[in-house]
Amino acid sequence: MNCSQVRALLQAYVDGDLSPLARLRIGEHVQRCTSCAQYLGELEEEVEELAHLPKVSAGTSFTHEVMSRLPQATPWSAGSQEGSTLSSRRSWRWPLAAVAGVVAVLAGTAFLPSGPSFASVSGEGNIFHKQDAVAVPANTVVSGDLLVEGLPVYIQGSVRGDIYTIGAPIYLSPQAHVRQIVKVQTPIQRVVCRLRGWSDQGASWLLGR
Amino acid sequence: MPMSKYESDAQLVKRVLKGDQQAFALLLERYKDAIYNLCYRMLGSPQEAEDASQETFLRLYASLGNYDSKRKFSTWALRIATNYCIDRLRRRHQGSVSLDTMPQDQEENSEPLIATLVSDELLPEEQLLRGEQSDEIERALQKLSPLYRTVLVLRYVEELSLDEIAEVLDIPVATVKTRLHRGREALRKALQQVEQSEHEEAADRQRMAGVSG
Repeated sequence: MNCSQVRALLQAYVDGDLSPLARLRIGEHVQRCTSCAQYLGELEEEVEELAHLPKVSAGTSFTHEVMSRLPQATPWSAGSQEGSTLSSRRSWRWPLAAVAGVVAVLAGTAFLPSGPSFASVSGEGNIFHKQDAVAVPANTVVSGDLLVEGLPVYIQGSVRGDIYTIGAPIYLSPQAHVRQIVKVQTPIQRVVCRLRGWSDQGASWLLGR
Repeated sequence: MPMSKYESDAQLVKRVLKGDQQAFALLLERYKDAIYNLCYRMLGSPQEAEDASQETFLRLYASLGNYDSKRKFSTWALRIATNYCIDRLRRRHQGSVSLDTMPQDQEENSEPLIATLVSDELLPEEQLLRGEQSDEIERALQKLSPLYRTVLVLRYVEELSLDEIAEVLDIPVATVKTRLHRGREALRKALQQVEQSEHEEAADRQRMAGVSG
């Protein structure tokens, strides 16, 4: 084996990813060739140093801080959970309540103003809309845009259009498919108007504001 | 502690899904250091690592309903953390391009702008933690592109097997190997650069000392 053949295999050699014969050949070459020996030495030293990087620890208050930031409501899909086992604690009533509050938006546009918060879908798709959260459950596809104001948004399914949010945190599950998330400062109804080509008055009328 | 007290990750997840929030705290305790280490080596600063680790667990919690109990929880958690860190690095990178007029680096010859954005200043407690050698390797690691950094961190900091890395990144094992090879090669070059620049700095200091003395 010449040097360039050996160099090509040294990485696999470090991984222990070669046949015994190939290892033997490389071992022989490295004993004769100082430049390949140096190269191998550098690789092995580098791996050694990486493996011995000091381990760091999260702070002692880490768990507490994360626990205090957990959302009140969780979007775990009602379908996969048996409703009867849900505890009656406020934060876990969401899936049950969501069934009552399911907003099925089919073929068209719907606006659901509720106090200071607001959620809207254009096109087809089901979203869960409750007083304290909005969710696109797993295996759900929203064909149009999703607009949410003042509510946390949980996305587990797909949103084919754009997602516009104002003052709303958005959580994506690893399975979520979204095209674009736009965090806007503009009141949502103005965004709606721009998208639909309506005048602002139209929106306030629709929203009853 | 009797063996029966130990609950598997899957059992804990089940408890959380049934409404027992405290079970999530147990999962946090189990995996916070693994996630924090990953974020720290990916992002290079304790503050960012803290922030990214918290965000990872919040995301994990929000999507717990989708967790497939046939898969390893640790792999799934590392996957969420990895994706989040890579996103963060990319955003950081994009941000710097608009500010900088430096040419865009190539994947191959990566001396990213990221390196220029990472502060060289260390907190006192960090200085204590770090030996000189690990300091060099850390600086070199921060010079690599996110993709190479990811496989190296998963392999040597998290000590995952090639198969496990493939599962975390959802790529074939052959791709993991290729990235690992290229990553080590890139790190070797980055280390040489770091060492060289240190020699130059030392030489400069000596010259300066000579001039003033």
